[in-house]
Amino acid sequence: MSITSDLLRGHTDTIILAHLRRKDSYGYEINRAIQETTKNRYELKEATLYSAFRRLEEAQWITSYWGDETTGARRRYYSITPLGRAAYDRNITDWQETKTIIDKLLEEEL
Amino acid sequence: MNERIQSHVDAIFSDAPDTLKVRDLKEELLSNLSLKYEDLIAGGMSQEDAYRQVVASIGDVSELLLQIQNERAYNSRIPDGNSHRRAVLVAISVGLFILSPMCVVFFDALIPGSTIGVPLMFVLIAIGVGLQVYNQMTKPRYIKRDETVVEEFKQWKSETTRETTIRRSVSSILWLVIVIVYLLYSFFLGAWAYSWILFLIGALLEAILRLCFQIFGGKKK
Repeated sequence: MSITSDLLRGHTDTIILAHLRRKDSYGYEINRAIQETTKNRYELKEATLYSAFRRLEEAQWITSYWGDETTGARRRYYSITPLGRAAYDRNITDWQETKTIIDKLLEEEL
Repeated sequence: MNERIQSHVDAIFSDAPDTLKVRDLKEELLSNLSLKYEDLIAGGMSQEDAYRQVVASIGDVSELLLQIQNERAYNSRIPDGNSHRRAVLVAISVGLFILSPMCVVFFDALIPGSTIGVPLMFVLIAIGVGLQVYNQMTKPRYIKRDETVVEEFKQWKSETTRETTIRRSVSSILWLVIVIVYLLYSFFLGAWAYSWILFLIGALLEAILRLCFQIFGGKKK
């Protein structure tokens, strides 16, 4: 778990962008989706999540707005921008390339 | 909503500055934590276990608060509402410059031969100059975000351009005054033959002004 978290941490931004690409969402929903997709093997810390949100917002890859919940606390929704979509595509290309390289290198060592 | 979560979050934010951004972050955090807590309870977890799991999932907020504080330092560079006041001041001083020669014409027409308009003109010009200089002095300075060379350079650049703009505005006022005085002097006293000397005096004043700014600006560093 801990080693995988370290490897995953570098991709927090892309993981969030991937989720927002489908629909606007808020912190808890994104984290729950991550847990469900990974079958409880991975979960972002709240601090990591918000720090990523602020970073992405400053880069203008996402924007945020407060939802109008009738019951319970207000939720802060995030939505991806065209810039964010372009960044996501770029990150995916980079990741595919990295994966191919690492796979090849590690297979050779084995 | 669980009061224990609320007080835990309050404790985390106790040292944080009370700004809109911090308040937003706190509200966002509380809203997400309470959703998580309710989900865990609904899943059959005990209140105690749910509270522990929720608190454990917060992580280290100190870095995040630092990030927000940095944004604050960056934002303080652009205080809102001042640009409007600045524009009004510029408009008033320009208006005064344009009106100032009118004083002379007006009072001369009112009481032929009177010179009361001349000192009045200078008073108006002086007020205009004062407003301009005040405007330049109160312009927001660039505040360093951290101790990096890039920030150091940005601050230096901002200081230098500030100096240059003050010098420029003083010099443009100087030349405007010289032209006005030249025209009035020549027209009223018919001294066309030698009044051009005013422009030489103007050039001299400009050179002195430049020198003053260099000495004054050099001292600060």
